[in-house]
Amino acid sequence: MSNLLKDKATIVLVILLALTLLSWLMLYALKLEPKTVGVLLLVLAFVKVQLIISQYMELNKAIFPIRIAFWLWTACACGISIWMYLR
Amino acid sequence: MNQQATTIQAQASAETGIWAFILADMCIFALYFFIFAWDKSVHPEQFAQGQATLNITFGGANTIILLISSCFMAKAVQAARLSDVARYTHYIRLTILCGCLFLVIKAVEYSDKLAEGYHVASNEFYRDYFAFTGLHMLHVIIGLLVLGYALQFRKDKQAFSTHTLFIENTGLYWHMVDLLWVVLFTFIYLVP
Amino acid sequence: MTNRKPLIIVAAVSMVMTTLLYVGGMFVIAGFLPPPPPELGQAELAAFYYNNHTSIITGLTMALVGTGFMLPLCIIGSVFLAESEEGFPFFAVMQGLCAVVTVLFTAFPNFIWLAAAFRIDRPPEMIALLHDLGWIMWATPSWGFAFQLICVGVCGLRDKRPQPFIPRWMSYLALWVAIGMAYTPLVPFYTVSGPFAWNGLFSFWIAFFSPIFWIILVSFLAIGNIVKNNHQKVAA
Repeated sequence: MSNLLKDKATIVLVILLALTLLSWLMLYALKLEPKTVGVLLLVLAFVKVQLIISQYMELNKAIFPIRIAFWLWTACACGISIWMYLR
Repeated sequence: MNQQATTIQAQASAETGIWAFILADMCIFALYFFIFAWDKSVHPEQFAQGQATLNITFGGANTIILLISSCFMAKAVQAARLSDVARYTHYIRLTILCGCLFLVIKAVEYSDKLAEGYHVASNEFYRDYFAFTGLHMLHVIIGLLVLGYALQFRKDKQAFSTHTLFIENTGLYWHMVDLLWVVLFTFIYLVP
Repeated sequence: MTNRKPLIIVAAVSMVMTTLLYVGGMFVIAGFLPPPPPELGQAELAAFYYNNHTSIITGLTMALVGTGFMLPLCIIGSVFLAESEEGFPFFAVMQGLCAVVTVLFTAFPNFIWLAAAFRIDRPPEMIALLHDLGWIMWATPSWGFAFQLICVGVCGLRDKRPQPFIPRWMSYLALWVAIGMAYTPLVPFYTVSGPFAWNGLFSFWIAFFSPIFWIILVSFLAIGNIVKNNHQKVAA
């Protein structure tokens, strides 16, 4: 069990690197509208952000208002960024 | 009794104050994202041209370096919770190394751009590029200074567990620096 | 511990005088704050100075006197810092000296703008030059107040007494505000409006109002502490 815990950091890193590679590939391989690719890239970026917040920063250990605030931040930052990008 | 105290310390989260600091800083960076998105929509050709002059390899390398450094930082914090000074020292050093690598690549990138004649007031794209990545770089430098200070705790083996809170706080800060770069990189270098 | 009562009285008077004189002078009477856009033409600028000659001089002079009252407030802060430090009170002294810098750089631009407004027949180019000089001097230096906040933040976090002089989250907030003043060196690069120009979102709105927000918070906390201490004394 403690081995798994020790490796959690590495597993998360592998996922983050895979998502980064996916972003890179999406940019060059996907034959979609540029704006659609842009939105997908942004969503992927904020998925990575949420992964870092929940796994590395261990948001679940913070008090409830802080957890809500960080979820709100991710949702608003992602949503407003995409909205402004598309306007 | 000591073991119980250690376990409690090990499960203790970083204090609320540092979470508030991090959230405040992330809100400022969110403003950067919004301003970048706004400027991009107002000057689409200028931003497309500007983005084309950027080196995605450097940006991507920096992203990978910071993600790896976050992993090292998480492992350093885990080691600190168990008062494993040797492992802690090893991972903090690796984190610092990654941070320094980030700065080196940034320096190369900036000097390339400056040599090509672009600077912080060239146009809206370069204003946003230099200002936002520069302010992020300032956060990396502050992080490295704090990590350097945290590295000194390895000498205090007897009372190492008293420093765990500081190390947790530093870890949180470093992860923030990483996640902000993830978004900055995506917006500035990748998003068409 | 230094006797609190005279300190509180001086702090309260200074706070009121600074706010009334500086805010009243700069925002209301002179109309200098919020800052005008950097791209304002010479003719428009000259017209502003000619047409508002008396109110500009009144407001700027009032604000100048107001900046003087900032000093006692900051030095009282140093008293609290010194009490939390062991040995030579490095951070208290540093905070005090940085306070002098902050106050001087807040006051000097007013002298420059007063010179611009002094003679009604001054040529527009000279007015524009003095106007720019004043704004660059007002908006660009932020390290004075940033270093003050860093001193307070570091001292606050190192204060291990059961009753630290400020709560830990205020120390973190102080450090956040200090970082939030890092944009101001970008001001001289921009002759047009933008987020980093002297009237910009970051260089003015955030860099000016976040310290004020922090000062207001710390004042409320101080007042709360005094009231609580008074109740405890009464209860005892």
